[in-house]
Amino acid sequence: MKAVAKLTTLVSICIGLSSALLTISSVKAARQVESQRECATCHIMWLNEFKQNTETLIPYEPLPVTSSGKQDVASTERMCFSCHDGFVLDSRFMWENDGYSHPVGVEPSKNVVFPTPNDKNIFPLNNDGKVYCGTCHTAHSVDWKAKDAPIFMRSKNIDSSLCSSCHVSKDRNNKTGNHPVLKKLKHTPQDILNAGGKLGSNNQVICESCHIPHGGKEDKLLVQPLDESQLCQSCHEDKSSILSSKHDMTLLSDQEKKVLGNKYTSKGPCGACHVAHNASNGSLFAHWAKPGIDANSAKCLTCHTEGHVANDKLTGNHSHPVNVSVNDLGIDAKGKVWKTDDESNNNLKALPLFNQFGEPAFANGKVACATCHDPHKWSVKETNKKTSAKKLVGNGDSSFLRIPQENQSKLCLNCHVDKESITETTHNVKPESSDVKKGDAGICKNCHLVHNAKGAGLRKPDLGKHKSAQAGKTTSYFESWCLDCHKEDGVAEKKALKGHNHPVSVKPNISDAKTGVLPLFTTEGVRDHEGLVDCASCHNPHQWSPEKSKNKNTKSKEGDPGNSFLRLTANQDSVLCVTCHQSNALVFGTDHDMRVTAPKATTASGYTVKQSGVCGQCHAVHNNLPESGLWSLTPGEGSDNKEKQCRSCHQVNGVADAKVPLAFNHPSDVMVWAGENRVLNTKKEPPFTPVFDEVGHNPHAGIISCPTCHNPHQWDSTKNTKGNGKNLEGNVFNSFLRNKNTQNIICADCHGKDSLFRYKYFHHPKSREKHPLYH
Amino acid sequence: MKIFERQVTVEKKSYGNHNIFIRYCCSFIFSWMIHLPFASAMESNAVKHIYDLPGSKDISLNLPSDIAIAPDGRIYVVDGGQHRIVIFKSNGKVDEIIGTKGSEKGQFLYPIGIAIDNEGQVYVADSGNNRIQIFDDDEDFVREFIVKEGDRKIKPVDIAISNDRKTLYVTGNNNHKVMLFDSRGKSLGQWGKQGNSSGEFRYPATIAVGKDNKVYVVDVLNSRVQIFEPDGSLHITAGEWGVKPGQLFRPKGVALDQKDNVYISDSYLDVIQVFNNETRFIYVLGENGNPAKFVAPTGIAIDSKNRIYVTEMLANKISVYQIK
Repeated sequence: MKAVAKLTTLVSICIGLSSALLTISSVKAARQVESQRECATCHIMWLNEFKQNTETLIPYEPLPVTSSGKQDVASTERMCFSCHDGFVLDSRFMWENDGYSHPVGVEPSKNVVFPTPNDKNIFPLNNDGKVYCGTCHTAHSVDWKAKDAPIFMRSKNIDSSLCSSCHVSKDRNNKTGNHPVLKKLKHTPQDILNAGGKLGSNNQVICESCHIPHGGKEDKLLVQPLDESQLCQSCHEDKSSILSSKHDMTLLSDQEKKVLGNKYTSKGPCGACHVAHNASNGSLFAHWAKPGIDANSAKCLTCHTEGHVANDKLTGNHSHPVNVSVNDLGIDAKGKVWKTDDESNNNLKALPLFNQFGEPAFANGKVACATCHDPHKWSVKETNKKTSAKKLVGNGDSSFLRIPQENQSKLCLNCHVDKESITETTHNVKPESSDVKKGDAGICKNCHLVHNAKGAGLRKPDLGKHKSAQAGKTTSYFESWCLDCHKEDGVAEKKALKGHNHPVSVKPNISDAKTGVLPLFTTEGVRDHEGLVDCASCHNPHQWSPEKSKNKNTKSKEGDPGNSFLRLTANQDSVLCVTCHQSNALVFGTDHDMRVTAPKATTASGYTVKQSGVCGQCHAVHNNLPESGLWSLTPGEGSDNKEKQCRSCHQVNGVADAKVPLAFNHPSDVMVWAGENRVLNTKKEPPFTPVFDEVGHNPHAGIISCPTCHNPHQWDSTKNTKGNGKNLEGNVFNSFLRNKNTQNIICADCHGKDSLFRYKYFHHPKSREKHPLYH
Repeated sequence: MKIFERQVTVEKKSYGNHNIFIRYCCSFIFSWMIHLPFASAMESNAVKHIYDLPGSKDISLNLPSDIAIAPDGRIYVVDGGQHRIVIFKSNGKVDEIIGTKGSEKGQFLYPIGIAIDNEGQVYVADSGNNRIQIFDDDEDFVREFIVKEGDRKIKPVDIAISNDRKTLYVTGNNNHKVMLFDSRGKSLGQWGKQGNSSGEFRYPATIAVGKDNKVYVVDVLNSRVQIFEPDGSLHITAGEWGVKPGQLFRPKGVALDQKDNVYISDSYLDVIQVFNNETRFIYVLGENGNPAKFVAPTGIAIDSKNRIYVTEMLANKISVYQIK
């Protein structure tokens, strides 16, 4: 039994030692297994089973993870997804729609710059120099000193700083043609967040707002599709109405057209004009911009140019000016509210103005296409989605205009405040007229075309060629324009130009005119200080009265020389007339000023001198029967037109019947030289006595008539002064005679020293009758 | 057919932390056992591929994660990437779609798991919305309840219903527990905690209830399926960590066939492995002598005709096989 007991003891000891040894080795092995297991959670190829000759469910493939790399499978997408599929961690948004992911297995683009702080490359490439998962990720600890970045990244990623640390060419500066980042958004784009995009701190747009490194729904790792610009419009909601509009290139353009190598259809309506990165022009514009005009408008002309996409919507040779300031129109546009000196105009909408780079600039900005047009919004009012983009037809309420015209030219008048008063005048043709359609631009459109006009002033195309109101002449620029309406059968038939009218296409006598007050024009209708007189020299078709305050409710009023769209009043002191005819203002206060001699007398039109103005008592600017002199009175009897005009008053029972001259005229078949052409006027000194033809024109040689000796506008030729306002009895030194004395008188040209004798002889009734010439 | 026959189970019915020494010993014993010689289990002829879902291009799935078969034969697929449930008729044609992305009733946010009770009532683990949504067999919304542990919202991964329909078993992603509710959402208790001991979980995933009311819970990072008695005691464990046949790396789906064999999908090894009702490994599911390879298989279901439906998450499809 003892032996048995000993044996048993020995066996027990052996078993105990064996157990103890086994326990020690088991603990060591268990630790190894535990440790191995944690690593092999991802590093599956480190499992010993692969190195044993045993059957495994997957082959031993320590090699490539990336297309050509040598990294362990730990950093494969499949390994990541085996946990990030929602069952362990939920990163499914990264794999949605077969997701687009940051490229791996490729060599970095030349635009990528790897940061190397302290000469250490923190973003390693694969052994073959290509990007792999581990370039950005590591499952192991990285000392960032701040827990403000996601785990498993090799660098902090604060507001996408990790992205921009390599993609420097797409970094944060829109001056370099990149979409701005780190810009606080006015509202939270919920669609982007729902799609997996992120916002930076303080609601800023960051790289990851638009791009998801894994699980992008579009090429370029975008979080939302582009085919209908869903991504862009998650933030730019105000531009969403471009869809289905006439600017939706995905619907309108040739489907083969491309933007930076991409078809319009693939980049969506926004992508037809914009790119998010590396744009060559401002506003992330994708295309070349037509040089030569302002930077903003140049973008429009990219397409609206002959031979390009918008070939049917060209601006023409005459188009609304750009690169001009609205300050010149009296608008204070420095702030975001437009103001004028006239407080009644302070409801003006501040339209965008642009700087030299085509960027919005309220202060000192200039007008550009986008001032009037919002290229993203077909109509301020609701877009008619029922009409296909190709069939949409624009009018004054749509056409991408920022302010609908509403038949009132509201957009035009938002800038042209000085022309706003036209709405209350007879020049405000009702929209019902045949020429203006509903929804059209309204009053301005009656005469102007903003684009494709036929001339300066945005002249609308002629409705027909007109006959000039001046016999034998072609119409001037503005005359032909006015005649579009002011003609028989025209809209302004009652004010048709007929008979004889104030000349146009003539240069004012600069020495006599007060320059710079009234506009002169070139034959093309462009304002020119050295230009010619035209209709618009005297008339401002946009303002009924020179005094704006008197401009109310004039539609039914008959005009007079104090208004009638005149730039200056022609009544009273005839300011308008004497601006050019200053020397004739000497008639004021003389016997020929009807205010002095016959204040109650009326013209043929029934105006008193107060109404017609001093000039208007004898002259009418339009529709005169006499061919010369713009004569407004009923002519009297006489041998020539000039005499007849004088005898309008200087006749029995006439206004001037106290001053009726004897009917002893110089023989009408004797022609004499006029004024400066007189042979004996060798010194070429005034007075340049005029001579006349039968009509009243001034030929080089003609007959002697009343105005040959008399200047009806100047009482005393020795004094360049106006009259004293009294009805004076004249003598040979005044009485409107041109000659200051007997020197250089025209009579002496022929009659020499015998002149005075002959004058007295032939102007005496008895002696005159004796001469055979007057029988 | 060669079958690898080996027992890789541990019969433990205790909870809580184990002494690390014991665990290391167990690990050592496992390691020693799995190095026993075995026959290849890779050549299988257990199934025959029938068809895939969706069967036409009219509809596409996006990261489908789980599947359930209704009593009427209709097939409910959790189309998680599109935040909806797609219902196919038994002939494979689309019958109905439930939900859109959102948090309103009837909407979903990254749902994962689904279950259908024996009355046809549908239960969806609406993970992103931290809730269970219940629909009737006409797909009408019935009710919802938030999955919480105290005040903490829990992301439900999957749900299973006891055969008497009185208990809902919900796996919690961020508390590593199985939570029990009644059909109104009232808590009836919870099992386990985070850990790798028996009865503990590291990311419990899909869950199934057997005919005997045993509860089968996939324990993803512990690479096993734990099988519980209805009272919560651990009955047995199927599978273990590894890459050999009978071992699991990323188990995700679990289902039982008519013989109570346990089918476990592995979303990294891309296979489905079959264990008998004693959790003895039988074979790797295969066809024509080759293992059937899937693309990230997750939720699986087996219908009354012994057809197995496999969600292939990264292939965005459901593969349907007839089990022989």
